[in-house]
Amino acid sequence: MKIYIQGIGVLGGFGCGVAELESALTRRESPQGTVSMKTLEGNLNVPALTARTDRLSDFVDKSALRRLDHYIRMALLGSYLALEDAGMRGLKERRMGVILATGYGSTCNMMDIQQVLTNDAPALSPTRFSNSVHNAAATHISILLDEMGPSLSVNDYDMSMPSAFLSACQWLREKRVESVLVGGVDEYCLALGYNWYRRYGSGNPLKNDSAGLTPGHAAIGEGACFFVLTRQENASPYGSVEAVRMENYRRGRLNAAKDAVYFLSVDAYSEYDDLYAAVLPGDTRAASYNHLYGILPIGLGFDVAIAALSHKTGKIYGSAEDLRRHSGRLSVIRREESLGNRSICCLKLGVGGASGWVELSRS
Amino acid sequence: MHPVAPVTIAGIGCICSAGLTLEKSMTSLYRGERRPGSPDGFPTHPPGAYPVFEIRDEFFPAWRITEKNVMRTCRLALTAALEAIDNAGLDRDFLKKKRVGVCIGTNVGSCVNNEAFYVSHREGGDPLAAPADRFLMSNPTRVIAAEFWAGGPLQTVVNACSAGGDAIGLAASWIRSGVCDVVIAGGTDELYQVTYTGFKSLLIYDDSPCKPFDANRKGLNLGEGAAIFLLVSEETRKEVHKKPRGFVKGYGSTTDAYHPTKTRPDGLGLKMAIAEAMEAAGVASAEIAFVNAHGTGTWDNDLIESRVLHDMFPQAPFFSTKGYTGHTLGASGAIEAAFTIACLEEGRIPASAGFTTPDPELAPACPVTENCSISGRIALSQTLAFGGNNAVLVLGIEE
Amino acid sequence: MSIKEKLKQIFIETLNLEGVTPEQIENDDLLFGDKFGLDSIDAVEIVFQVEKHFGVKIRDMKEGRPALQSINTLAEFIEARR
Repeated sequence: MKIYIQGIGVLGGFGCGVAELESALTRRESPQGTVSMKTLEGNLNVPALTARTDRLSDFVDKSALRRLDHYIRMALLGSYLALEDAGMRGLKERRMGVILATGYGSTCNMMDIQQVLTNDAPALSPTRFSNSVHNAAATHISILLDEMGPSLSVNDYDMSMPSAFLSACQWLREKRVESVLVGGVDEYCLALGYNWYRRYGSGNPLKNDSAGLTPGHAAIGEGACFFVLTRQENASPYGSVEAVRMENYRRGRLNAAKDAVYFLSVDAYSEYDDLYAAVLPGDTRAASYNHLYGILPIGLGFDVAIAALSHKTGKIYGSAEDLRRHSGRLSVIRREESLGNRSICCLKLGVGGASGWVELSRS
Repeated sequence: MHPVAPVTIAGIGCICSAGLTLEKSMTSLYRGERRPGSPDGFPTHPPGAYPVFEIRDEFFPAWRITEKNVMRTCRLALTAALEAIDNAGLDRDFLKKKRVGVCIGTNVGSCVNNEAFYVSHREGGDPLAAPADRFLMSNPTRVIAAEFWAGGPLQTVVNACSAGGDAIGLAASWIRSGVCDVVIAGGTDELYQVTYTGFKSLLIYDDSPCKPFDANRKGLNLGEGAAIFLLVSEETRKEVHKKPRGFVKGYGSTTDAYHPTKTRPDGLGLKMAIAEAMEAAGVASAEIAFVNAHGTGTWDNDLIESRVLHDMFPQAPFFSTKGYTGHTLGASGAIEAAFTIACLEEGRIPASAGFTTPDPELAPACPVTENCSISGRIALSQTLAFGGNNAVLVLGIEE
Repeated sequence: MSIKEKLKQIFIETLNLEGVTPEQIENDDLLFGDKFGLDSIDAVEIVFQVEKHFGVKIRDMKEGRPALQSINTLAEFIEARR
């Protein structure tokens, strides 16, 4: 039974929608953004690739968004864009599952809540609390789509997207649902900005640890990437999900696809970037694209979107230059090339030895 | 859903304010003991009001655990996991040879582990801990995977109050589809000031011990705890010498798609989830010995749930155990599933704690007011979450 | 600022009622009727804001429902308990 990607909805520092992602891939850059934060050394602008949700008004009346924060809005917009791309906007599917993955959770909300609670007389806005409950974004997607199928919210840090895809494919194979709206969302917040500052900000004691990486390639990211998956027989130009696996790279070689092209979820930030060269076969053709969407745990989701685009256009876009620093024997795809018949394996090596990948092949 | 194969439960572990193990918890439930009190970790206004069901005793078997520097939610999960593995007559060496997945439901989870950062930052400190480090200390799935050398799929379900039940249902699917041989599945949550303050601000927290289904109910009380089910494949089961505790026979899951905090008034979401679970289990409503209801003590949950139960299982007794444990949020679906198996084994169900006065609005349906014998081998355990997730498990003690 | 003016400001800001001005809120308008499209979360949010800004506690929705009928009833409730 094949599982197809019927639609993609993405938003991030590169813009909004598949066309803007493709444009950023072709230009090999996203517009550089910043966020401002207070530090011990005064105000600092931290490089960040942030997302806008203005286009949400194309899909939903403003009054329905009244109480919804940025995190929930990103999830909603990603969902609507994916359904639109799949030609399913406005259609009532027989039964659709909704799966939402997040690496950080609704962090801004949680940070604000914790600020309140560390005061002497803690009291908490019920609206803010309701929005912070971890399944709130998925709840709002189901409400606005009027979809009573199963809903799953997962929070697995860097393994959130593989975990979500695993369940999406399971639900389709079990025929629990006819389609699944599966996606990820992560939001920038102060804790992340502060952590970036400690690694790359001026005068910080960890700067020498950054192995020569330039802050410009380690921009903090936020955004959402959603997919509509089906069992439909009509082949999709985006390709089919060949495999989803979660293993542990400390237990030996990964059972990953041979002869595939690899999109590596490096982020020019974590200590795991150098491990890809150790766990993959020599001469593996590899690329990374975090320079377009930034550092965020659901980054693998954007890689899947790019892999799907590659299947549609038949080309592999040039990789981020940073990858060369970590690539070892891997053969980095520096310039655009033809995909041919190869499948694409989107791989993330994460904390605690966890590894997850999603392999896309032609329909 | 078409009928599916039952999945073997090799062992169960459970910890809550009623007891530090499943057996001790059940003894306490059958005795009708309730231990509500003020939370230790944070102040309440006025003192003594808005009680919680906290685990007051030392519980963490640190001498048996490697991953010690972890948050309370993880410690609860590890404690229950050890009990489940012991209960199955297995050990770590056995698990190391298997493809083991971990699927845990939680509400608090790792996202909230920014609190130390925030306090330190606010006081002019300079917190260094990276997001990854904070995550590793506080995500129960990762902690269990590290402790028991689990190399298979990992999933942290954050479906609010139905997370624990969902995790068990999802893990059963992993076993059926051959993704792994063993899953350490369940739910865990510690008492936490965010949820305590949040439910109070929604005006759904009872300032006295909760009264599920009672005419004078005023809301929920929070609790804490964990329950873990060790699920094994048919192949692995052949290597397990002890008799299985039971079987996950069916799982149904829907969303109300109605409101962020209120239950759907027509109960349709719950009805659909029950129907799906029953169809998967291949059982008829007459075969259900009892229903372990969600029964939080909030006005609309109890109203709607009781009407659905009356419609779908008019002959089956039902009860809520939240009067004994409080609402343990992400753990509740798993803890209540554990109680359900134990009740089937015992052949009796406990009185629904906190219920004394029937509410005329709640159909003719009333929960049981004293311990009752039951003779069936199959029961239902259900949870209705904030946000409208409905998770229903059909559990049995015969294949 | 009078209690009623303050309440209207809180109403608009905390419930994020874009496009609604204080002048558009009549003192006897049904706050939870059809005019503003509010629901139960908004009701408890107003309860929270009333305690935060005026120090007056509404214990539950039995007490809250009559008080939250209109700006007039809410102002009366607050004045009686301050």
